[in-house]
Amino acid sequence: MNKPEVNEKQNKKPYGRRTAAILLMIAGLLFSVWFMQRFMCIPFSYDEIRTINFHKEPENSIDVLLVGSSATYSDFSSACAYEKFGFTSYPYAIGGATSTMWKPAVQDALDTQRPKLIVVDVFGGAYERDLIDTRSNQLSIVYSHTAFSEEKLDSIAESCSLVEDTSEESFLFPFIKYHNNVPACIKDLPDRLVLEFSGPSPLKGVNTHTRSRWLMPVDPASFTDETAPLDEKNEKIILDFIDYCKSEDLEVLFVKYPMVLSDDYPEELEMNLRANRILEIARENGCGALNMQKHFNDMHLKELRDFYNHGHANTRGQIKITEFLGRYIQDEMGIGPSELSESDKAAWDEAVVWWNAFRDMTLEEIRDNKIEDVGDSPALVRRMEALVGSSR
Amino acid sequence: MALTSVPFMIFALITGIIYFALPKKQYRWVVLLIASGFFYVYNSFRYSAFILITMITVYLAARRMADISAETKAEVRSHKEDWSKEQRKACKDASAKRRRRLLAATLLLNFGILFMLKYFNFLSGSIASLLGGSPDDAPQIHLLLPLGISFYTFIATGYLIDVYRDTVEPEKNFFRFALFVSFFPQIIQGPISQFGKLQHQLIEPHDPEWDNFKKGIMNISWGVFKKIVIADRVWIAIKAYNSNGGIHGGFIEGEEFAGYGGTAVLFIVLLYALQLYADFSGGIDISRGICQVLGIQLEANFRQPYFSRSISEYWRRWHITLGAWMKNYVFYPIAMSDLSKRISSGIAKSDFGATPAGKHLSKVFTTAMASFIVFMLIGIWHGANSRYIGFGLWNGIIIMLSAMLGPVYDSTRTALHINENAAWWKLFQMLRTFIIVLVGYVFDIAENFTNALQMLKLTLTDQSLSAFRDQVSTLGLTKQEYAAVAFCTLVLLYFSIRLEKLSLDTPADLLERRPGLVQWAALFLLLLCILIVGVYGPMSDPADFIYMQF
Repeated sequence: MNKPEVNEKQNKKPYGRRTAAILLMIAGLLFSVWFMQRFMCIPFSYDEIRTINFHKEPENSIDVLLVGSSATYSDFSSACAYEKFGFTSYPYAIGGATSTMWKPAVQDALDTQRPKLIVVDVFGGAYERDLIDTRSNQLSIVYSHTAFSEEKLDSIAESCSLVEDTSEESFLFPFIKYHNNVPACIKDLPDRLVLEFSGPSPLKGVNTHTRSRWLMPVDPASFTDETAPLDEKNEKIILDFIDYCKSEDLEVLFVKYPMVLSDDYPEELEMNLRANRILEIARENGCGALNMQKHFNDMHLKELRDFYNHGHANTRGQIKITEFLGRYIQDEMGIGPSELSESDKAAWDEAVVWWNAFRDMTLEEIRDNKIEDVGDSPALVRRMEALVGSSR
Repeated sequence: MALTSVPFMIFALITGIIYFALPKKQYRWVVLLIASGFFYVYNSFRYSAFILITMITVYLAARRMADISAETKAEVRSHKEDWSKEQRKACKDASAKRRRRLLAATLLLNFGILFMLKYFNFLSGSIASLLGGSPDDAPQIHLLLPLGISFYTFIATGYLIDVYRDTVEPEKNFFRFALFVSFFPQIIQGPISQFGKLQHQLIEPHDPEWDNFKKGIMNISWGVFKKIVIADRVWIAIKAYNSNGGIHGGFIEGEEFAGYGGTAVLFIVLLYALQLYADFSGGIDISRGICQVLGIQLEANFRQPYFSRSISEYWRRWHITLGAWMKNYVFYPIAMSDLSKRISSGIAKSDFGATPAGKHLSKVFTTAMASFIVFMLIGIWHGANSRYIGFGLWNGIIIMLSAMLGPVYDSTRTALHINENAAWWKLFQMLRTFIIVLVGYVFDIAENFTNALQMLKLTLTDQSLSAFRDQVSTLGLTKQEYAAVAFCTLVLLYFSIRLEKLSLDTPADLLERRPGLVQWAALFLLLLCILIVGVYGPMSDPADFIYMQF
């Protein structure tokens, strides 16, 4: 009678071990996928870093949220605006983002922040229909950092109905779509992990190129308020965004950042007119609208000095545009200095010191014609630490 | 529901769970039948009638054959006393004739369906062209191919011929036979199983066994690796080659493209060789792995074919079960037919037959002819297109010549003092065979026969590395992707060499010899590799299994 019992015990032993091994392997695979999805899927770009850093900002500490495409972060400096006008802001912006990104970004931001004003870059809304239909990488960046909720699921479903070649699964689990990026992302893993465990960035999402280039003089015809019709689908997306902001009691200012528009860029001239239409829609729906292109000369912008390309300002231009827009936000939108806790105030004051160092460094590089793409990142933080002489 | 899709994996998992959970073990085969039926109807609902026709006709024909045999035996037995030997023979001959007619009619019907669906449009267009008309005006059948028609037709007819030859007992239960014909892991792309080897395994109840589970999962993973990591990635380049206009060129993103040169063509053919092997053998590994988990051993369909030292060896290692089917049901009947015997003896008795060459030819002529016919059929089996005929023709001619010129090769080798067992000679033979295989693949890639000849000409006359460097960037793969393909191909090569050296069947057999931790680590790395480098997700466009279309 004893023998079979022994055999039974012997048989049970490997079953236990095997089950444990299977579970361990499944757990290992799930952990690996989770790790890669979090740290090694979406390329470690300035857009990604800026979005990650936005989520590190203390709760309810951002009064002005800027959303949109690349002009948002190249033309506006949050730390500079804080220094001049005292309000806190952050560019939740992604290069090449179309109007489909605005609502998901604001929805995500409202999870941790209660901004007094949303500033929207209309140029991204003026892209051609085919870009609006197909650009999904920007949305992936937003969704990969949005906390899981029912609202996120609804937002993803809505985005999938607007953008082609997307799937709800890939927005929820970016690994499905971006797994092939993993090998290329290995080199960025150390910095990605540094970013994960560091606090809010004093660089506040700043990004620029240290160069000025020969550009044709801006065409005064671009200072117009004349409009061109928007695609029906795009107009619907914009109206839906306005409705959403109203439902959330958010004040919105639509802005058109200045560009060096000339005959050299006929497509942008056309976009300029469509962007005017977005400003017109904003006004029609009771939102703020500011056409900074019209104020190109009021800002004393110089085509040959203040832009690193025809669509984006360098640090010199950034200072001028930030001052102009900051003043508008202060005077016309009634946004005064932010009320901050002591620790938050200290952090923003530190950001001003860093901004000044960053400004001086980039202006010097522009002067020396040392062309560089510099943006908020662990690498830049290390450089700035050496410049500012502080360790974070 | 492709073999590598998540729905299929879930379907296979559920089938496995229900199969093993069913308390009445003797009915476990019913689970497989229901799963196979569901799988077929789900994937090919509109064309399910065709497989039903095959099942019913072959089942009934086999049953009738058995009845005729039984009736004949009974009749002969009842007249044991009063019939003469001649009368008994006459009775048996009549019976054999009836069985042969039944066999012929059933084969005609089933191959007729296959022919009509697969080849009618091609033939009709070709005849129209020959008569000076346009192929577009020729009568066409507007039907897609029923899922796995070539495979299940061969499986079912093979069984019928076996019954006719009395090598297997006919299946009495129609549903069991239906399971044999429609068994879901093999319906898409084989292997072409033999009734005698598979049916009893399907019916026997199997209990879950750790070794089967482990090896099955490893085989599935290995198959998925081959398919979605290697084959589907390589397919991107082959697809780009075709969409960019191949050797004739066209437009790439609005810019004129002059067409690919000989080096790029050679590169594409090599990639195709890799894709075809990884795709087909990967699919078979998945099918075999699923069966292994269920306790069923499907026949091997590949044995490192690119290590073959002759083209006939290649065909014994590539799509083994198709080769075996052709050998059993086409080659032998032709080679052993009265006509073949008469031709052989005719050559032997002629003046030429007295010469050494004549003697050799009289021995090998019929087998060479039978081989040629077999390879023509294999070519045609792959599809209705002149390029497939070209593919069959090429292989057939090479094998026929190899058989006929055997003594010439032998004497040349002897004259050159070549040691047959020397490593360099073996390597040379492998390389030579691989090149012959690659030439066959050109017909596969090309749009048609003429295009294939143009491609072949380019590979011989237009080799330029600088042109290749420019052209390779238009094939849709990044440097990282090429590196990933190269690395995974090396992994594949490593395992192939080890399997060949140790005469093992699958990498699971190889890993079985290693400690448990190594096995787990290997599986973990393999799965991780699939997850990271695999072609899947919303932006990817993975290819269907190539052999699904056949």
